[in-house]
Amino acid sequence: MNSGEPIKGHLDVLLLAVVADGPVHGYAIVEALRERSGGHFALPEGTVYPALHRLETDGLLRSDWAVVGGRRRRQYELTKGGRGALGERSRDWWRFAGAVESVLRSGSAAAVGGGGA
Amino acid sequence: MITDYLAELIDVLELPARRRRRIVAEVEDHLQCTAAELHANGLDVASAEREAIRRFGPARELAQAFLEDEAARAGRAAGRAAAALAFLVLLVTADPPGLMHWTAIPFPAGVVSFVVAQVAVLAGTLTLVRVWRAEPTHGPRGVRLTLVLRGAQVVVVSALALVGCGLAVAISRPGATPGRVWVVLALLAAGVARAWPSLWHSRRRSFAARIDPRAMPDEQDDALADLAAVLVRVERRLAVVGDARRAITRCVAWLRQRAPRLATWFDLRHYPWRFAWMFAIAAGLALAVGHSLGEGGPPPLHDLARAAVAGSILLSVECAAVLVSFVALGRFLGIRAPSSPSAADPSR
Repeated sequence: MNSGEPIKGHLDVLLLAVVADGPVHGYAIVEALRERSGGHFALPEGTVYPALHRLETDGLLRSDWAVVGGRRRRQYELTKGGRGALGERSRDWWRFAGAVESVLRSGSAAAVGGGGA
Repeated sequence: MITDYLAELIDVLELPARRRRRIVAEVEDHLQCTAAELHANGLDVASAEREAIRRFGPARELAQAFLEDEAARAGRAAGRAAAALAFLVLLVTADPPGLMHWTAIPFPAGVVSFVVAQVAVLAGTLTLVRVWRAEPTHGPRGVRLTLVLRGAQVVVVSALALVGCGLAVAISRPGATPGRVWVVLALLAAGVARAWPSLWHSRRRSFAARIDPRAMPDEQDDALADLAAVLVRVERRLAVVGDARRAITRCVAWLRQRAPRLATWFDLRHYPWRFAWMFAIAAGLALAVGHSLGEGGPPPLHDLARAAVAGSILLSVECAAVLVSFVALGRFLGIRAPSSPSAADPSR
């Protein structure tokens, strides 16, 4: 399975969630995304940067150069608007995931019931 | 190897130098970090760099993503500027209050102003709707961007024509031009001066992102789809709009069931000329009624014949203006669907 494909529509909220922990640079964001998803989200790493820039243009992130580990890096952090957007999109996601789960549960139950008949 | 990758990225990333420097610096940092980590885990330097680049993705795809984002952002700005200009056109030419009363301007400038003002307002509204529809994707993309730029272009050219007509009349009648007309013309010129650079910048960004300027919309992206999508968004905020839409849908379903032939009259997408005629007549009637109200309400009985003639002239002029605009700009603005291949192919 191409694990990058399913997250395309949700990349923005995932990035906001990763950046919510504090100022972080692009490489660390990709690492965090991979670690937190248990290696499931292995999209081409380059796709993260246009999304980060887009979120910054929309005022959800801000960034600045900082020296981290002896290297000059662009650090991203959430703005107030970004925090609000993260909350809103997370709620939307939980609502959606809950609805899908309910449908699947009832489908599975019917399949099990049908299998036993 | 990383140096070659960055050189390719610089080559294809047609963005302002400062922005390009920032992107390249970030990419370089990322690739160096990945390669260093892979090298520390046992890969030789060349293999580590190759793997880092593989994980990052092709330079051209990355550049294309940035260019498309930039084009969408520029398109959104150009669309908004054009919509603001169209609103200004509406303000200064509305009848009433008639700051630049079209009937007071001699022929042909009066008729040209009358037509181009309406074209500008229609194109501006459509452009604003398209920009609004594209908000979830951070600005218009693909064929939607092409349509936004075309709409903005029509608004700017129409506003320029309006300024040209106004100036021609003002210059041909020295001393007879009221001061407010000069103010209106200055405002319009300022609006054009603001929208033009934005449109120009957006066209350049669109060209850099290789957006096809000749693309034509399908049913998902034509004007009707845009209006429907915006209505759905409005519905979420205004329940009454949703109620109205559901009532209309019920009526259409009932009509389809009871009188299928009559229902096809309302299939605007497949019968665009009916749509054009209905729109033209409705616009003509609205104008005639508006004009009549502006003149002091319904005419007295003894003046009914003269009023009917005047109303018919207004209605005809408006109908002709709408139909001519529909022929000239319908496809360009994505209102009228392009001819189907089977219709265009004489061998079929």
